[in-house]
Amino acid sequence: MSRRTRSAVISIASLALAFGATACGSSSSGGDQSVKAGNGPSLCGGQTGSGKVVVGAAGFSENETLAAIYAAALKECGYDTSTKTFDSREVYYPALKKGTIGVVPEYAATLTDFINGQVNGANAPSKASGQIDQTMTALKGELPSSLAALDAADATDKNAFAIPTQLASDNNITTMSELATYTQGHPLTLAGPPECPTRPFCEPGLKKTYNMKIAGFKQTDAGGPLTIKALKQGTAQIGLVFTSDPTISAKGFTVLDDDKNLQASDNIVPIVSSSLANGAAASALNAISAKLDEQTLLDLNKAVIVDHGQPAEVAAQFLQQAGLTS
Amino acid sequence: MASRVGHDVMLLTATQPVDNSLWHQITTWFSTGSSWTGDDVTTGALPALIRHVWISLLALGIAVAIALPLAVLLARWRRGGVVVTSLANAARSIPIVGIMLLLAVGKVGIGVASAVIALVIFAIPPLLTNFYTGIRDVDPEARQAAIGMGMSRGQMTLRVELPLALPLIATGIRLAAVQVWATATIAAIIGSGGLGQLVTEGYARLRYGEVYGGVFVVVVTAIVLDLVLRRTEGELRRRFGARAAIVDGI
Amino acid sequence: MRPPERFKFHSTGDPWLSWHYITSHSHDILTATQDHVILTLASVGLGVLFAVPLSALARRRSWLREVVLALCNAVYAIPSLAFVIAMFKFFELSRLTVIIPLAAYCQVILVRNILTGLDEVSSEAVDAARGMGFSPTRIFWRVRLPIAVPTIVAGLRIAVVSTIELVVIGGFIGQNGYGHYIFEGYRNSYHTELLTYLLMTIVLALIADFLILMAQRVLTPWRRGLGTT
Repeated sequence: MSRRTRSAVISIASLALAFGATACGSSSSGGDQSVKAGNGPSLCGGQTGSGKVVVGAAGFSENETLAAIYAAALKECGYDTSTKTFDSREVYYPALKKGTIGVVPEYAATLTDFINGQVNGANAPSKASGQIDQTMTALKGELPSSLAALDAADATDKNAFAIPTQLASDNNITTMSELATYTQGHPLTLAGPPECPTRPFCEPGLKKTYNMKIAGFKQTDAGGPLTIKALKQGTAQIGLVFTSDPTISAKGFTVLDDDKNLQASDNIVPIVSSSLANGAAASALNAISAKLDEQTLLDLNKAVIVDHGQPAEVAAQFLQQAGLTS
Repeated sequence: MASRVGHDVMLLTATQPVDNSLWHQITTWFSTGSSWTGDDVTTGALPALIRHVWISLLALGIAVAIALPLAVLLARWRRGGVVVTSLANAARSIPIVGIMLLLAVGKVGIGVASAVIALVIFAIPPLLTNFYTGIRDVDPEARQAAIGMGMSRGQMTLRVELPLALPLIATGIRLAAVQVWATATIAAIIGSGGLGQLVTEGYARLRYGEVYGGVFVVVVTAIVLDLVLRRTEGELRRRFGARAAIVDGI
Repeated sequence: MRPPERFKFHSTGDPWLSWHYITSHSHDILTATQDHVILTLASVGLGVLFAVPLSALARRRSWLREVVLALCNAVYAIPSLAFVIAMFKFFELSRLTVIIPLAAYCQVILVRNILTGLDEVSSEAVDAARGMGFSPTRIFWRVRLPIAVPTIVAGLRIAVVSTIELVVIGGFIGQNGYGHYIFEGYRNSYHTELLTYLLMTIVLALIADFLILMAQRVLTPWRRGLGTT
């Protein structure tokens, strides 16, 4: 009872306080964090950061969770962090390049080819490869001087394409090549995010690498609820999904084997403003990458997508269990 | 290095000199056929417009079907005015996008239904306020006369109250229609299409030609809709008595 | 290199509402409230800043009035989602991306109400004041404005309440405030988060409405006891 009353008082007081706040900016959150930074040399490399850092995320669960992990770790190291979520890479990348966003959890191969496409045109040959080391070298060569790539994690999240299990088993389709053969006689509709028709890993890649016959494109989202719904309703038959999504098979879809390696090695890699490329931030983000393997990523996604954990909550649990925070 | 920085439009090849100014993007959008008809990559303005009409009409129709009988009932009740005012005030503080997203993650699910229900909730207050005022303000003498002629309550409503309230009913419909038309853009957020899709799609690909083209089409159609409905309303007013009471929903 | 242990994440489930969620996220809720309030105040403030001279201008000539009102109608026809995305081109992550569209809407509501309010003053009242030898300036400040206050405040209430509601759309383009969490809740199908922040938006709007009403009663004591406005 008293706990309830107190919470209610706190809530009302906080509202009143917020009304009183006329000045812009919020800087009070850093205060007690910098004290804590002292006990986490493994996380912050014995250094303390300061200043505001905006952690950017693309608008799908996994990326928001990773961003939440980055944000929590940077806060632990003394930065004043906030997270912002965006529709697509097209939207956040210019802001990242300019420095208004400090760090984004990225995917090594997709980003490499995204920048390559911006600089050399969409038809430029891919510079990403199946080998993460080569991809990282290519990525570092592509990045503008205002950005830096930190250590890549072992965890990968490839784009993949899924079709209804019924369709797969009826026609013995297990690979993308088999699907491409099937589409010659039965063109299918593809569901994916708005940027899919212009992304080399998405619709253009399906047509070029697999010679797939696409009957049409249904604009949905990146492996999210809209895509699942389109596949379930039958408005589309092929959906862009992520290999790290634990729910695809449970929902009655089969992820097809990418037998011609259209999708390159998409390891998770923190991309930061060059001002964060050294020091506490880099140390913390690299420490996270070191702890992030494939299974952990699947667990993280399951915690958020299946069990409805909030990204921030799951992030705190991850950092603690990984021994990065106390 | 400097030459590497810049162009966000992906389909352009590096060999061409690129004019990436906003003005160029907009004029390109307007002069490209597929911007209007659509193709397998781009949402066309015309198909999007048709869907927008469809969503708006559905929402407005349902909202009128709910608000009109409700207004008739409330006008018969002494405390009806309080209910109408508090409903209208309460509705104004509800974030319509939030309601739509709430329906989308809930039982209704992602799709047109969630968008339409949210728009109905949004359209009812301006309709109800104007319908109610229109019916309530019907001259008591007209009512007395109708009863004197032996009309039943239902007949009086149909033959006397509603025709006399017509000007304000039209005002309510105009205000609601224009608001629903503009607000139906949010349907694109939950993948239900409409003109909003040009804007969200352009945003996701960072193609501002499409964004501004979409904005242009929504605004111009909204203004045309407003003008046409205003004219209809004026005509009704001329026929059914020149009562100038306007209860603005906004 | 690899973590030897497997991670075990526990979740608090996903009810529509949970008191535990509110208490354990009070910091987030507070920060979001602060951001939401800042965006609202800045938008309404900027709206007032534009509305006052624009209304004054509209009162000079009847054709100017027509122009101003037509412009207002056009602005109001721009959907909020489209407006903020159009502004993203210029202001990106800056708060101005939402402040400018919302200020434009506020200004429309305020101009309409200021003009209506000032029109409501009866010519008898103005004539009486003139007969008492009031100068035009004095008539404006002592007669017209006090009579117009209720209508103008009514406009302000509508402006504030609808701005609080519209700030939510900023969540779509990376702005802070309640919208950030409402959209996050939608993307992750997280009911608790979505509904909590949706209700917070409504509560904030109601509180703001109440505060303005109270302020009006304090500032216009002569209207007390005249019933509802």
